Amino acid sequence: MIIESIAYHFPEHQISISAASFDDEQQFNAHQTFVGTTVLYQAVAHQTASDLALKAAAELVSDVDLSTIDFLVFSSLTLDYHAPSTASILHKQLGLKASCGVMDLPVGCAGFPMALMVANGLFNTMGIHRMLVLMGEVPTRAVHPENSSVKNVFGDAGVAVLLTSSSFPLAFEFGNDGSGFSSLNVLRGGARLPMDVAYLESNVNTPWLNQFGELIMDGHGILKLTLTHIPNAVFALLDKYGLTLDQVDHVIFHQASNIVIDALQRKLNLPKDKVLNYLADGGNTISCGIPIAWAKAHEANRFSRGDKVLIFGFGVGFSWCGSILKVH
Amino acid sequence: MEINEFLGHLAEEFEDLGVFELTPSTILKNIPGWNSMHILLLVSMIDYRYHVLLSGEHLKAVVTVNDLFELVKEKQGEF
Repeated sequence: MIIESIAYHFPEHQISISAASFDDEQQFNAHQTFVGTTVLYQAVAHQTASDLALKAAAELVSDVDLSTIDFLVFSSLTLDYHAPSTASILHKQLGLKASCGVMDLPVGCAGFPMALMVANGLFNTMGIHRMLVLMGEVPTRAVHPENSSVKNVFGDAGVAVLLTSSSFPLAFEFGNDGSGFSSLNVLRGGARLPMDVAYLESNVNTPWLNQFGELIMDGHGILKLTLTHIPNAVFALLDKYGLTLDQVDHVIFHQASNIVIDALQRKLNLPKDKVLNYLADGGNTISCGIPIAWAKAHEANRFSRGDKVLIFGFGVGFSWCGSILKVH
Repeated sequence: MEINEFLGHLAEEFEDLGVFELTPSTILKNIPGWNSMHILLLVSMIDYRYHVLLSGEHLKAVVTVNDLFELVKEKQGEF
């Protein structure tokens, strides 16, 4: 499987993160060091995650014969409806053929590698040749403005990726640790904890939290889960390819925050310039982060044809998935 | 593990905070410019250098640099 092309779209509304966003200069300095975002993008009230994905998709497929696309996966934690699938809506909007299958993948930070894993399985078992993986996330909808662990960290985005089958075999490394439930969650609005009148009334001044609920993150808990599982999973993945880290040209971890990316870089003894970090422009965009980093590295001429790129997504769950792909 | 080595490793992590005196009795949250995210930096450093992954629960009773040093020593002994 190869990545033919990637397009991404940020919503028009920009939030610039400056010293004025913080109580004092020291907090701003800590933000720059540990989080690393300077600009975030925010969808406006009527824009959904699929609107952002559709913008990216329209750009990507403008010169593609749509009849060649056999399957569509939409990765998002912020779907348009409970039913039907948002992928089904995107299928219609894009004008894909009736024999093109669809699937939503609401898994979060590991969404892109998981979508690639689904694609790889379909390519290998179903005899199909071309797929579209779309990602859309609007995490700013779930951010409470007084929650300092999530504000100024998350941003909205849409991504479209065109995949083609190839003879280059891919391997994946994946896993899950359900103890991560308490470290990162959005609990309201599902069957276990529906939105009730008291919850809705508590959001008189933050009405957007009535759409998907409120994002809660324990940064320490997430860092601990990351350092517990991801380095071992990276080595297990390398073993599947018979490669060492030295033989990988670029590494793209989930674009979570500087502190998480830097902690993994240090623990794996990776040279800093091998680890891509594009957090400054756009922030943590959940499943959009890895493909956006891939596209930006391409734009910046950091990739050469044949380069081996290790991608590793991890987060909410706590779930993870990674792979190594060659640059097409 | 010696306290002086530990102090050196801590000081390296706090380069972004500029120059200040770090002793075993330094109270972590009184370090000028201290931010809750510095805790995450310590967790990362201690995991990398001492192979001990501290949880929030572990750190609740930590006030001074020496408390942290003793905690890491104790956790190292558990392996």
